[in-house]
Amino acid sequence: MADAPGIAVIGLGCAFPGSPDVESYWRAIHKGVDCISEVSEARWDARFHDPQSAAVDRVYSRRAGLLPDAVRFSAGRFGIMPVAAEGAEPDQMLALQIAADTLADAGLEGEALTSQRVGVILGRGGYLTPGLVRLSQKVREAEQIASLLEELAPELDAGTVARIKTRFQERAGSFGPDTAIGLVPNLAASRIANRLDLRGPAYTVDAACASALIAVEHAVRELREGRCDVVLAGGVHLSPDVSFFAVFAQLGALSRAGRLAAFSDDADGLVIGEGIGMLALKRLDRAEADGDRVYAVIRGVGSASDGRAASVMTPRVDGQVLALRRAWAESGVDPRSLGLVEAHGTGTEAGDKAELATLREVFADGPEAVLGSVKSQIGHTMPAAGAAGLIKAVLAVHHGVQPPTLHCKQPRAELADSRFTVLGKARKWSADERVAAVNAFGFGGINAHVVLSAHGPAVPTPRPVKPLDDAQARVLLLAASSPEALLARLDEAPGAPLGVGPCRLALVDPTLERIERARKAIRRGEPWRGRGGMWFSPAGLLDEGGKVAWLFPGIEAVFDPETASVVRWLDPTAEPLAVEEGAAHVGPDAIDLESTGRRVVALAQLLDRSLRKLGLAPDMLGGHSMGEWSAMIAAGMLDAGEIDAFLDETAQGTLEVPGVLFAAAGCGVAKAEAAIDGLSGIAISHDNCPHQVILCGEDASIAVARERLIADGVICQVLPFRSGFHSPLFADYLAPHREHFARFTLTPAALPLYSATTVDTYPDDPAAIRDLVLRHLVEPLRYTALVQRLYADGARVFVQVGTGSLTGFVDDTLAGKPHLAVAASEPRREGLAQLRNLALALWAEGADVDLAQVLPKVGLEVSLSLGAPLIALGDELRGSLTAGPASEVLQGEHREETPVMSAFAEAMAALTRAGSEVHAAFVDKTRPQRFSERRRLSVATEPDLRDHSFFPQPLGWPIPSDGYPVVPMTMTIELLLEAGRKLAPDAVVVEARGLRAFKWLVVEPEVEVELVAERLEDGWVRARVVDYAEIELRLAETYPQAPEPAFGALPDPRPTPVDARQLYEERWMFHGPRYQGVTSLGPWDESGIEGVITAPRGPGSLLDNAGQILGYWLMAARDEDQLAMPVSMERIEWFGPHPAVGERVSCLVRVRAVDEGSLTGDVELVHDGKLWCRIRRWVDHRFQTDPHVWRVMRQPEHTLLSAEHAGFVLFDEQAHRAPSRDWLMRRYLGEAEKKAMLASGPRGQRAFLNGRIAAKDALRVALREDGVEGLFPVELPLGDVVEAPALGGPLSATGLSVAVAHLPGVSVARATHEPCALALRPASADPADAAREVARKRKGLPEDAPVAIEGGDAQCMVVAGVTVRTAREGDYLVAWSET
Amino acid sequence: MSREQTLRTLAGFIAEVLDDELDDDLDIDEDTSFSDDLELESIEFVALAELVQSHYGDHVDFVGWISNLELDAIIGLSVGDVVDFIERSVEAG
Repeated sequence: MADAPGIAVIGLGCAFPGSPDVESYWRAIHKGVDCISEVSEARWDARFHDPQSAAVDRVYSRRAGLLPDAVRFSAGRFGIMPVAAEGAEPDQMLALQIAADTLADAGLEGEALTSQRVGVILGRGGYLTPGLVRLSQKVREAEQIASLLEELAPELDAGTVARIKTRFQERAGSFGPDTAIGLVPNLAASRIANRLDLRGPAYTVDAACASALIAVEHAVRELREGRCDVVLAGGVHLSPDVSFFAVFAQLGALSRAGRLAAFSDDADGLVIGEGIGMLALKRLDRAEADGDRVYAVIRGVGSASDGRAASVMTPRVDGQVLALRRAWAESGVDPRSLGLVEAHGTGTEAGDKAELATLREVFADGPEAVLGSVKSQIGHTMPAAGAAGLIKAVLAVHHGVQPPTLHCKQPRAELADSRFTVLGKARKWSADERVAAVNAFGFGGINAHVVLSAHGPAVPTPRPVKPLDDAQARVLLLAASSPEALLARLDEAPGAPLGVGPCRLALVDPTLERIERARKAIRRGEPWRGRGGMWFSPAGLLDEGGKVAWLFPGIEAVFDPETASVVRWLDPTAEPLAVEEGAAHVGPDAIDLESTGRRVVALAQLLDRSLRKLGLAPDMLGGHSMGEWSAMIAAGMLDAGEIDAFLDETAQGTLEVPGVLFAAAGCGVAKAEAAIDGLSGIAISHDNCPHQVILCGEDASIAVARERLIADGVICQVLPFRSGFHSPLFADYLAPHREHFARFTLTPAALPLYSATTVDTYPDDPAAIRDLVLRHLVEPLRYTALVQRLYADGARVFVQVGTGSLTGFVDDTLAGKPHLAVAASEPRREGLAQLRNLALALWAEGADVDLAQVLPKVGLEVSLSLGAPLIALGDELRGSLTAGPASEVLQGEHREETPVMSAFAEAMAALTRAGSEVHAAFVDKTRPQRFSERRRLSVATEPDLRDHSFFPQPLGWPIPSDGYPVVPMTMTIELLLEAGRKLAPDAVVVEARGLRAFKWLVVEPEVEVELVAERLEDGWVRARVVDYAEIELRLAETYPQAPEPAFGALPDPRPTPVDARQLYEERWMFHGPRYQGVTSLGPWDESGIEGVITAPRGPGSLLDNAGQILGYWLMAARDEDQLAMPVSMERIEWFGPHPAVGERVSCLVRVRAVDEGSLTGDVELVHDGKLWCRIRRWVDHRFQTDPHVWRVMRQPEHTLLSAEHAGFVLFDEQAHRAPSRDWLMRRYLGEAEKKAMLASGPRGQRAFLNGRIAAKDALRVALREDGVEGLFPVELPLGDVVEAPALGGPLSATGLSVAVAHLPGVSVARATHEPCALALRPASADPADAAREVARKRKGLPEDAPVAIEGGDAQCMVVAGVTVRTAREGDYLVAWSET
Repeated sequence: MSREQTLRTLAGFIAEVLDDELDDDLDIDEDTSFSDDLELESIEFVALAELVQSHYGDHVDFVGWISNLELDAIIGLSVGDVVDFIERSVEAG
């Protein structure tokens, strides 16, 4: 089947060690980066590592090529609940993300994707992955541990063993129905088809290390036979378990040296890797017709098995040769044209030897070809290895580069007389016909081979741009009056309010380590301007009266800005800008001055708009070379359209001067003058700064000057354009420009525009301007002098409005003087990321910059853990196998020491003698009678409690106390049970009575509680969390027989208004993932409600979920006071051990009574068809909440508590029924504000809180008008001044200010971009008085200052020059200033 | 002089040019790129050249070498490239 139709590679996606995406993967390949590292303990326990041991469960090398231990996954992007994503096999989630990226890279998204027949075929092995490990732990290992404990320690009581088993199962992580399905291995492919709505076949194939290429072979077949339009093919290998490492250690195949040295004599084995790689494939003819970008063309694929070999482990040359020959026969390509083989190359003796023999046989003759193995860089990614190799080969032919291979220090002898060479460094691959081949050979003798070739000329490797990753997107901003004060503020970070003052710090990715670095910088006291994502200014340059100069660069040797992100940010609907047209210029060839000039001018205008969107404006302007034209446009002197027209009309080459070169010399004017002394046709055209001048001259003179300079120790480079700008050599070419400039309409500059020719501001007279513009073309640029002049005229902040070297010139010229030079575009960084940096830099210097425009909000992401380390059970069970109770327990034999206790014990004994039903164990005098223990509780010790916070805050909100994490009453029950069991460690709690909770157990900040358990006369045990809750417990040796569930069907079943998912998404329940267990809700009727709970992992979460279902009944059945919290239970009975995390439990609730203040219900929980637990008279307290307040509680980011009126918002305490002021405080204020409020005395507190509510609502109204929505009140920290609070956080930069006015119980607020003033009076008051008050406040006059009303009517009057509007709203009169 | 020493010497010069007193231990290795990782400005290269030249003397013609590199080579220049060059020059000299 020679010349079978070519298959185009139209999209690529991957995540490999060291490279989260294709671009970085190629960079790592190109540069030969070693991505091997130590396996961390988050993957597998260090105890498995032993270089000396040959034991089956020991691994002698910890080196591997791994992705980060936890990878970010955008669950929200695929409509997957975060909790479901966390429980799934991580490879499925990541494969989904990479699949979407790969298809997007091929231009396939949305309709374009779902309208086609898209198949998914992925290589994936059946190895042990974290989900399977969890399953095995829960089902098999937990029981294994229990059976061993029973066998080895028969004296252990059943309860202890059960607790150990249960705890082990809990710690094994979540495993429920959602995750169970994820264990089916084909889901790695099927989930992609499911989530992306693809209709072609989707399956996984397993051919060991050949899997990915076999998947490609299937894909090629599907496409050639016309069954699919597009196929996504590749391989997946993530999270190798320690057992996987152990296999390779046993085989002796792991490298002891910890490096994979393929084809080197000193190779000693492989290094395990992980990763995912995918390719979007389409028939070449279709791809060409559709105008797709084609990375490369797959010409042929072949596979073969070894047949009967010495063993399944030993590769056979003839099987490999067969696969290769089949692929080449199919391709119709001449093997002599081969330029690159991406080998299987595992670095094992048998493997490398056989592979080289195969290659020598198939490619016996032909020119030199490069042999490589990316495994030397990322390790052996097993079923994904073929994808890693194929993507590498595709990119190599695409970019025209033959990449290097690491560690091949002593090439094997077989290479010496072969066609093949292994490169230590990347080499340009200039052949027109670039043909590559890829090998993947699997255990057991399955061999696959792919032949591919280039499609069109090589595409240069794109310059890396650094986008903002998650960490980079987080920024810490702090301001204070002095470095000392700033240091103090830093101690409160993260989470400290922004503060005010001229001493500022902006820190990207504020990890503890980086905050420490910031501390060092602040202590040093010197400004730090940008390196490493940090800006620190001890006293803002602009606070001290400095001015801002915008400098526009001209044409430079490198022009490669990333602008797409900026264009989208300015206008999401806009087309990409003309700046992007034409290939980015980096390189030695002569630059096309005209088209580059057009793009430089276009970029300047784009950035000018961008800077203005950030709220920035210049005080003065300057340009460098052609940048002076951009500066003229910015100054309003010249119309942008006229310059565009001029450049459009300027034919290519008009700006060029033949035979003339520029050379940049790294020295000052004096040395340069010496170097050109005596030469003709040469001049200094640019005096850029003390360490750079540019010479312009005829080729011969430039050559001599260059030699002289280099001999003098001066770097001197020829620049890639031919022009005579700024030198007399251009004089002869001036005529056409003179004509153009004569036609330009010129207007005097609107702000100071400085000329680098005269080192002075431009004249106003059009004729003089024209004259200067022409002089500029033939006279030298005096840029050093210009920068000094700008500095002398007050400029301290220099913004380069474009990409280029001007910031360097400024820094060099002003070395040692206080200033900031920063670029608005930077080829190394994504455009928007650089604008963000610029905004931070300017903010630190005191600029009024709108940071909210560039600081992104956190998205719905989860962190997938790729490891499954050993389980530890925690402190609670420590020592539970050794006999004897814990230390503070009073032993029975000590009872005589206290008369009370001995009397107590005697009473117990009497009971026993009386033939009480109480089990003998509980009156055994050797048993403890009382237990007490102090216990510290916090979100640090119980991190799951973060998910039981009454006041949900923005995702990732750094201050836990703002959420108000509280121990659920049901976790309190567990604490009580735990205390009770201390008195009878071998018993189980079968019944509880009289549970009462006294107050919230808030755990942030940390709280210490006292747990007490003591025996009662009737044999029951009273357990207490002192001051918080108490209960009485009955313990027994075993659980009683479960009675039949008593609740029948609901008489009038109806579906609930919301389903289980909405219950949490819409925050009917405030609970976070660890407490989100209700997986099915309803039906309900007036008599009760039902639901299904999948036991989540938070402490006490199962019963808490039953409480959620009871609580939800109130929300479905009543319109008011829908918020309810448990306060007591009359009786609880248990008939079995607590179901493990992930188990399904049916919950049946019957409502007994509902009245104004409470809700009482009975609950039955059924597990495995049997009653597990029933609760009688569960009482919830109902809180006063009207429907509006309830909405504010649930969704504060979308609901205002205040009433919105034209011009202001009004918050009236009386207008709503809320649970308490405390609740409103916690809903609206952040930690620092709460402290300030509580410090302000009882009367002040009321005004403070009401004012804050109104102010934050007013700000949210104003921000909504600016297009910013969904802000929680805590995201708007306010300063301490009651009537005109300063705005904190990133929003200080919005330019908004807010004014507040009060009457008892009522506050009004108004937020505007201009300062404003506000007055609030009873409706009966005189509007004129209120207007005067506003005018005084607005002008900062004392209360009794006379102000005159100058005109207007009652609704709108002018008072002392201030326009004041008034309005009556109910019982109130509101007046405010307007601008 | 060992390659490692050359790298450390060069890293010291780079820290001096960057005037970075905070990061006692700037993370510089042979793969570090002057442009992408260190964000070195062309002007800063001049200062680096002066330091290298005065330390190694005439037989390490750093200035001549840099002056003759093509622009894309300079943009892609890594610390290891400079170490290579210095090592070569020292051996030859």
